[in-house]
Amino acid sequence: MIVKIRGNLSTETRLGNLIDNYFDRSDLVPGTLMRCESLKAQYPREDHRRGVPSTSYNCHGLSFASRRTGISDPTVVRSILQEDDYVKVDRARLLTGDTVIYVDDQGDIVHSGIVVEILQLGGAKVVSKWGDCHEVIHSLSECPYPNTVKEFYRVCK
Amino acid sequence: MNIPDWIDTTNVETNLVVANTPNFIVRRIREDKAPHLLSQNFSAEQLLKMYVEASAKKPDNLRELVTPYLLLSALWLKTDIKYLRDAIVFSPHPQYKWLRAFAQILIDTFRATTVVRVGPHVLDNSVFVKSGSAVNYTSIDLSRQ
Repeated sequence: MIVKIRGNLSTETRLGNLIDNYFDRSDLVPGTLMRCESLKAQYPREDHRRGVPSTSYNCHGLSFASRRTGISDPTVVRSILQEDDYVKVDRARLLTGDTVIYVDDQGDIVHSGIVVEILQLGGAKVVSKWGDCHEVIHSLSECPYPNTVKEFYRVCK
Repeated sequence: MNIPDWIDTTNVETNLVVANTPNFIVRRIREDKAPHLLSQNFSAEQLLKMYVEASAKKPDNLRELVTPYLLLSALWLKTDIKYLRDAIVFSPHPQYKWLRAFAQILIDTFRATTVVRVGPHVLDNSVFVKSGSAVNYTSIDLSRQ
């Protein structure tokens, strides 16, 4: 059996366009784990899920590829949203299971996650993966992606 | 040759660890002091040589992992794009997963810049000479209004 350390998966949007992706199953660079631990101290109120940091998938891989690979091109994420029948939803109509994307002031998608809990006063909890670090269940804005606008999407067909 | 110990890479390391896209790390590194210090203290030739050495080697720690990204960013701050273009010819070690995309973003956003060193501002005592504007004031006693 040949085990691939790095590579990509054959996957495409519903319109048949290839989804550029990349996974890396090699060992983490020493020091990564310690840096992830320091994030736990920096965000003590969030639910840092068990599990080790990984370069096999990232936040977009969690949100759009079932944790199977990493997607790092923001334009690819936009293509998935358009070609996989995602519909933008208002924050007031948010439901668990919806997808949230974090857009920076240049219009680039820098982060994404899945809504897992609706809170009062328009708040929500999201499960997402912080880069090479672990997965975290966090309040919408309690994450290391500041100065971003949140957009919400739902697959309707 | 490694980048000098006095250049702090801690913030860049954290940003690289949490980055989900190369665009994110490009912006965060540009906001950091480290590439500016490298650009000011090393010539483009030196930076390119350091980049070639650093990017070919498997990183043993986070500082080494961020080093090629910092060196490319320092080259981006130079006035000549030639060195940045020369840098992307070399194949990096696969552990630097975003280095090619990172370099391409830098090239696409390159603007020739000129760095001017400005000396420290020396205070001129004449600034403190009374102008008269705060001398001829009238005192109002509010308790007698």
